[in-house]
Amino acid sequence: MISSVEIFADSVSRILPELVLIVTACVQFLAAPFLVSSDGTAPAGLRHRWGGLTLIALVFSLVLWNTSSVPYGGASSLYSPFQIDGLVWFTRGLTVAVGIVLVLLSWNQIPDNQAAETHGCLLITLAGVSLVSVMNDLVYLFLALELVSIPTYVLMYLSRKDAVAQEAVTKYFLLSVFSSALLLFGFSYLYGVTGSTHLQAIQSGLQSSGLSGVPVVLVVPTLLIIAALGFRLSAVPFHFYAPDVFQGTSFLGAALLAVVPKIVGVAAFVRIFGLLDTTGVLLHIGAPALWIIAVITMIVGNVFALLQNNIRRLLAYSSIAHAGYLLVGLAIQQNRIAPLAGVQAVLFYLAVYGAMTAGVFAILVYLNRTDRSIETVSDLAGLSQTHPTAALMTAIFLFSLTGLPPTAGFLGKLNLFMAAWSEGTSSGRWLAGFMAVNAAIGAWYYLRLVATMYLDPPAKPVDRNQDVPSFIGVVLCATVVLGLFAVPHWLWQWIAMIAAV
Amino acid sequence: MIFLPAVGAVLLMIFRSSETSVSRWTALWVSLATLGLSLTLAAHDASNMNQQGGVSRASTQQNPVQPRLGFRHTWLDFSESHANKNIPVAERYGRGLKLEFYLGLDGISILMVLLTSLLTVSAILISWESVRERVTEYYVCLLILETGLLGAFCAFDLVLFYIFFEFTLIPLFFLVGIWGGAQRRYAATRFFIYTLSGSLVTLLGLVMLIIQTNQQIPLSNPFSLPELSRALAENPMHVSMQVTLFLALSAGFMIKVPLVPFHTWLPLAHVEAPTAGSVLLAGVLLKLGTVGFLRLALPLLPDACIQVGVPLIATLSTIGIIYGALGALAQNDIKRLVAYSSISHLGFCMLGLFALNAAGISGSILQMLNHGLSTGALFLLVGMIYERYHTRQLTELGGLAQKIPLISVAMIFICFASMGVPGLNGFVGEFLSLLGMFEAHPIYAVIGASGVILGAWYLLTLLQRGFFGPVKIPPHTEHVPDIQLREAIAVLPLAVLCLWIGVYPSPVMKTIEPDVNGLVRQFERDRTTLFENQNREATAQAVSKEIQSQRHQHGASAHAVTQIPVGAARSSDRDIVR
Repeated sequence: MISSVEIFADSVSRILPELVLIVTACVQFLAAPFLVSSDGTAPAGLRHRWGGLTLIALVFSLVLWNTSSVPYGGASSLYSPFQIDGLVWFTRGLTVAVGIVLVLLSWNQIPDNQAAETHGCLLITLAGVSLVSVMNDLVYLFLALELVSIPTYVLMYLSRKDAVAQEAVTKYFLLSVFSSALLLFGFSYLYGVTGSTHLQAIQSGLQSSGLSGVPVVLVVPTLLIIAALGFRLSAVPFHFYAPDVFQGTSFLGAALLAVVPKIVGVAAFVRIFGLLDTTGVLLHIGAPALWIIAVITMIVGNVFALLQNNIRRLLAYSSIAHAGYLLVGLAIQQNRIAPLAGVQAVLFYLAVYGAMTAGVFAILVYLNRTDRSIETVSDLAGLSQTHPTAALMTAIFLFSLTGLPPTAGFLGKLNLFMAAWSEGTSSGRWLAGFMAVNAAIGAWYYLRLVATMYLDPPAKPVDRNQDVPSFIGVVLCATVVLGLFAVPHWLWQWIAMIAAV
Repeated sequence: MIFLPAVGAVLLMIFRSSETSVSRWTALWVSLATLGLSLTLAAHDASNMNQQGGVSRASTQQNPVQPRLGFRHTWLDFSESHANKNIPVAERYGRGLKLEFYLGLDGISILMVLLTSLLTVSAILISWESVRERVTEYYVCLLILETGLLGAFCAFDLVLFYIFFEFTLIPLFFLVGIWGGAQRRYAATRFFIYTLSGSLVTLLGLVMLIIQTNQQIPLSNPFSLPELSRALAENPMHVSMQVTLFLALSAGFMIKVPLVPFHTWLPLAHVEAPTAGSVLLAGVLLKLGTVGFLRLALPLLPDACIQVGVPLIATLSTIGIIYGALGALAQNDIKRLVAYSSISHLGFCMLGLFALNAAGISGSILQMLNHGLSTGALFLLVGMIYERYHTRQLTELGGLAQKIPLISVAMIFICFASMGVPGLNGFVGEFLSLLGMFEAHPIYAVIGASGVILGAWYLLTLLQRGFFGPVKIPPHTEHVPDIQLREAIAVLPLAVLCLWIGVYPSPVMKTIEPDVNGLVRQFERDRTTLFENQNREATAQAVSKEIQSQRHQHGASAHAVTQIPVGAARSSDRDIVR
């Protein structure tokens, strides 16, 4: 018999990296009011100290993550709601890495008197993201999802307070709550069918339930869950918030929304649909819907991005298009004799996507000035002459988003192509075909940005930039984007181990 | 060797000097070093061939495609994934599916590598003074482009080939877009999107090909071209599958070559590109398409080549020959004229390739080399004229032979080479391609041969209008210098090679012989098996007899056909003299 103390200790040891983040955030929330005077002014440079603390917490969490061994398959426990497996290992690493870039990116963007709150919210969001993958139980999974959402609202509101931003936050808040409600409703069906909230129990319950064909009682929750997670991924038709919110919020908010919900969505998806260990009953039911959503999302994202002139709206539609690519990988049924599984391709693409998108936003932060903000595409004109290094980095990220060699974006797309094709059905082949068409459409608007930077004369005089932290973020992302092309094996060996079906 | 230019480019980028001369000289030395290295490799290979003789040929008999030198390094291995699962080995995911960094050299790549490194040196020399803005970036782009091209020619891994194939788009986009003419932005974007869309279909085709093969035949590495080609030669795929794959693969290559309905990006890109860009674009980049056919389509999908490739590609390239020539005839801008002539010349190339016999394929490879040399040189000369007179319109130029005699002499020489005067390189290549096609499908060869006459027509018209007759030059350009030493160094090697290949092509032929044999053997066997499958052995024998008799009869007549331009050239010469 295991005592409750032992269960507690066991559980704590399983989520140590997240605990570090949460404890740091608590310290920041508690200490912040005492460092800001009553009229709201803070000592100059306070943001450096809070930023430093946040970075230390993230790095410490990274070290904890790095020293933990990669667990193979299910070290699952019926006592603990926390399951540690390869997916957790992957998500944790990715989250913390993205977090470091986001902290660097926001370093000089936030006022001193709000630094603690912003960083605290960011840390809790990140902790929530990696907790989503840890959770082994529907109720806890839902809690982790909310742990991601709620600080995000605060964060978006803190960073910008004009009317546009308020509209954006409200929109995001309402839709996010709506999607949470959908998710809960879907979960309730699963509980009703199987009598358990534990994910393993649900999977085995579904398989032994004797439900044949496509039972309606499972169709409803499957569609509800897809809708709710589609909102996180900003998949069409749940994407309407993305362009407005990206435009309305700060660069930090936009970067956060472009990357973090995608990680959450994919992790939750893999967990609930049981992509890692079994070919889930739910996936079988949901695959046609996912197929349609993936195709529509790719097309809508790319076509609408062609029309955009505002750079944030453009990136919003680009992130929708990439959600479509991720969904391609998720929609693929697992096939035992296929050379590589959709999940593997998706996880690889997710990491690459995180690096390149965070990189683009870091560049925008680096170039943005209070007197010279980057809003429309033409604000980038002539960048190659005023900021050659920044232009080169942006070109690398944009070519990676296009999927051209020599960047990791190419390998990401190649993996998805191969996974879709090797599924062996005509629907998988069509998906690969749609992806190719969309990659060509996508090339248009990314190329337009590159052309503006390199071919147009500079619109504004040169000003030397000193925003070092965001530039470090840019360099980190560029290293990852180029490095994963040169030595993809470094990441792939782990992904291959995680998703060994 | 491939990465030498890239290393040079990175160095240039890091130490971006304000001194333009520094970056010029660095670029020149780097490209010269690359040229030296590729010459060494070629010499090494030639001496190997001489020493081993029969041995090296015997070793190539195994695979339709086999590099003579190779370097392999595993890059992304999909097969390791399941080491710790208890699925039997045979059922594991990704049996042997791994991307390899597999570079090699065979005869074809040696020639192409030499051509690329030579033309890059010329391109750097020619842009010495004409490029004045953003000089460092310009040479960085040129060197990166060279890396991409060299890599594509040496890649023996399907995906690696595709990677380099795509990668060349990026530096060329910048070359056209930044340093191009008035419509550069439109031209660059159009070129980029056009070729990218095509090559995405090609990528899809590659993925299809690999996965299909991998599911049927367990291979240690299906991405590797030699292994894949052997496997497919031993147990060929179903013909309908091959046809689908062939069409998918061709999409990108047809645009790159370009064959006629897909050529619309080419004149624009050529005209708007800076001189060096046009030289590399016409001289080397278009060859990526033909090499793509040669490397991937011919060895991997032989049945589809016979069934669909010959009618489709040969028709398109015949149309291309005529269309390109007529288009060139109608041009007033010299650069546009040369661009259209490229379409025509590459038509010959593709025609020879899809003769699917030894004469045709080796003629086609030779024609790739020739076109690179002569069209590269033509663009160099056109660039020189433009630099002097700031116009390329034939209506504004005339009698240049009196003003700039040396450049005119070079121009006349290269034009002769390009139109296929015997004794110069164009003749050998066009003759072999047409001969090969004549053996296989006489009708295409006959129609194609008329392109040779048209070729003589437009080039002689160009010479007559531009270089002879009364002097007509734009105002204020009375005293322009004739060819300078730097420019002469850029053109001279190309001209010398044109003459050399024309007089003594056997070293070139010897270099590519084993590779061509490897390819052709497959078609010979394949044709017979294809006919056997359809229970038409008798027909096959009759056909082969017929071909043999035709070879005797029409060998002479094909020769006569290609002789025609010579007569035309001579008569027009007389016109000019009068």
